Amino acid sequence: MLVPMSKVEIVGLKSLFFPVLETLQDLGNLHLEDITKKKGPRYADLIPMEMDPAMEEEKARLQNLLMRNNAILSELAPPEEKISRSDIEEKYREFQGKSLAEIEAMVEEEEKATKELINYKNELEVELSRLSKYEPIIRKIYPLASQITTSEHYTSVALLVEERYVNVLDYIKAELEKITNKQCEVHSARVDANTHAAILIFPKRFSEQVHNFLAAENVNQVRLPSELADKPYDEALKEIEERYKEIPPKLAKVREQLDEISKKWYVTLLALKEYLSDRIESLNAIPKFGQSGHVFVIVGWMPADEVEKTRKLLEEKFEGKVELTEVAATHEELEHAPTALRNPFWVKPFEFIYMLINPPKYGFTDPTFLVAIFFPLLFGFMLGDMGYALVIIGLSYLIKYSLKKRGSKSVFFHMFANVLILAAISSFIFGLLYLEFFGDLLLRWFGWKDAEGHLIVKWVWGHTPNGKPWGWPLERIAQANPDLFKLLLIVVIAIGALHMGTGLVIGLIDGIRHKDRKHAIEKAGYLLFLLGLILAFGSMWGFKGIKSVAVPTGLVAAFVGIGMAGYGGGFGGGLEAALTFGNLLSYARLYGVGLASVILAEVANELGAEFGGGAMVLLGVIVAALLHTLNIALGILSPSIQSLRLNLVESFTKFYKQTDVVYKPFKRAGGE
Amino acid sequence: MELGLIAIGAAIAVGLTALATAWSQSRIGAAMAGALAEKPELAGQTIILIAIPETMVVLGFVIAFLITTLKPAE
Repeated sequence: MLVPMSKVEIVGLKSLFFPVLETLQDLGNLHLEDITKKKGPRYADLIPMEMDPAMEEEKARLQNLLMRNNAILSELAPPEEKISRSDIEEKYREFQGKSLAEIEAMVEEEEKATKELINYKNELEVELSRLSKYEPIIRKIYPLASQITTSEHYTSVALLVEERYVNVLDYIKAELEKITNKQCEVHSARVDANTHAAILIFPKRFSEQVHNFLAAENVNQVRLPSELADKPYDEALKEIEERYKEIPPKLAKVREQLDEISKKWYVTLLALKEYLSDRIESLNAIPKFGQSGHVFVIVGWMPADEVEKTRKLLEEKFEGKVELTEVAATHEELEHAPTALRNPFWVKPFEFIYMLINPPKYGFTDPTFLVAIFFPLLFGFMLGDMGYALVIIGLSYLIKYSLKKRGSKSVFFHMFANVLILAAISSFIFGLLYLEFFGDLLLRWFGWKDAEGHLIVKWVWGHTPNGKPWGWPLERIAQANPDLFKLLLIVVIAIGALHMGTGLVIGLIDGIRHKDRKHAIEKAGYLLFLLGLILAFGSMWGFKGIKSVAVPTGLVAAFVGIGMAGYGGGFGGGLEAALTFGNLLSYARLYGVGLASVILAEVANELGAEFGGGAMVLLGVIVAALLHTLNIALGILSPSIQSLRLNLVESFTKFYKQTDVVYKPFKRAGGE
Repeated sequence: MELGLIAIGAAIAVGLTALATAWSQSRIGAAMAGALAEKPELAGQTIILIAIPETMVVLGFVIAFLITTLKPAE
């Protein structure tokens, strides 16, 4: 249901503005209204509040502090011990009592303690990353280079050549001999399956010519860090290897020191981040407020049941110098009142639909309860299988456990897991009605199928017009009993009529409550059209005795319904009423999707039985398990989407009004 | 013969509407994939929009059902 809201005005002495703002942010129940956008004589004399230079300077200092604080936080790993909310709260309170200068001094001290270490750690990481690029080369070249000794007049170049181009080395050697007058040596060796390493040694005076030749021939030379480029290969590689080995212990030591700092400071830094973000947020809200010569005025909405408590608190805390008044909202203001939802635990998870559409408009009925009833009902009707239901419940708890373990704040997945659990419970109940457990596994087990594979009804509840019994278990694949097939289709259409009808009744009531005559007539028209159709078609199928009267009456009612919807909602309304018939037939998907699911489950069992004859039991089980897994995956996806669609498209489009203002109280959000 | 024609009629009713649904879903799916690249927050609405054309195959299924309940002349 929607939380009843009250429009409130808070008036107080200007000297108390910031303490009041801090109190309101702590309470976190006031949805602020922008006073500059308010019209009418009540607000005509008020001057909008503006950020004065002192406030601007404060904001800039706060932003600077936040940036520096975040920079330190991002470099520290969270401590291993779990951080409790109460610890953060305690530190937050400490900051509330400190001046900005004190906080600045603290951040400076933190920076001093961490800056050098962080810089050193970053340098080491960069160096490690740079040297790690040489590691594969070192591995390949070093064994060869270590066997070669060079004098100060000689220099060397290393090459890596792919196995398939190894003959190139002969050509390079011949050319090198030409350039250096045979004063050179070429050592080569195969270093792995695909690579040959070669080191060319030659007098330093030929260096330029050799390098030019290699560049012209596009030969891939091994390049070393610039500071080592002048050194012979064996020395350079040795130095790289040594440095590469030295860094990890140094890095571990620095990280250890930073972890120590993190243990000491992390909670403080987190609390400071929240405190600074909240203070910036409160300064950002200032242009929404109004003022006169000596007082400030804050206007907003809060849940009606919190008004009295807040009024008393402000009165006591500020000794009557701040007053909260509940004021009557105008019709226009009510049109834009914020929407907040408060639903019981079994309805709450279904609020996830408001991640797809906006929540309901203030003053209208919150239809979440309708989704909470019909989503599981429709889901269960489609995926009525006890085995699948148990698997889905298990999976949902696994999702919840994993989210909890990871400390995930993903509202969507939490809600989705809860919705799946409720939907799976419904699936289990329908599974009991159909007696389906991983398809027809139980029926096969109990031998409740006749020679032709048709289900034997154990509890006869009635007989179809062609004299066939029906009852429990209820057969979904009613090949032998077309009347039952028809009955189930009528049941799904009836569920659809009930679903859409409930929504239309809500729309009608909302229209009457808001004294919106046209809206009420439009919804009444849809409802009349729907009832007319039910009467006409119902008498054709079920109550044949009254057919001669019911069919014309139903059709007349349907036409009158279209007329009423047209009157209430214009051409679109009339068209929408006529399309209601299509919406109603759309519920046939419940049967179609269900049928596909049960047939796939039975195919899984049949294939499992075929493959798993005799000694091949395990193979049969694997085949059946694979197909059932696929069916469960489809069984979660398809019924969820179809059920959602029936709620949002078939039902909601007939009555639902979305809000453009969601209740967002001014509160401590900690930068979230 | 008549039973065969009834079966073919039902198959056409489901088959053609299934093709129509598939075609529509492919167009919507491609468009929504593009939209999601720009605005990932549209993921929920995408699922609903992709499910919209399924009404066609559902109605095809209803027609097929009505056809199969026809009895061939004795």
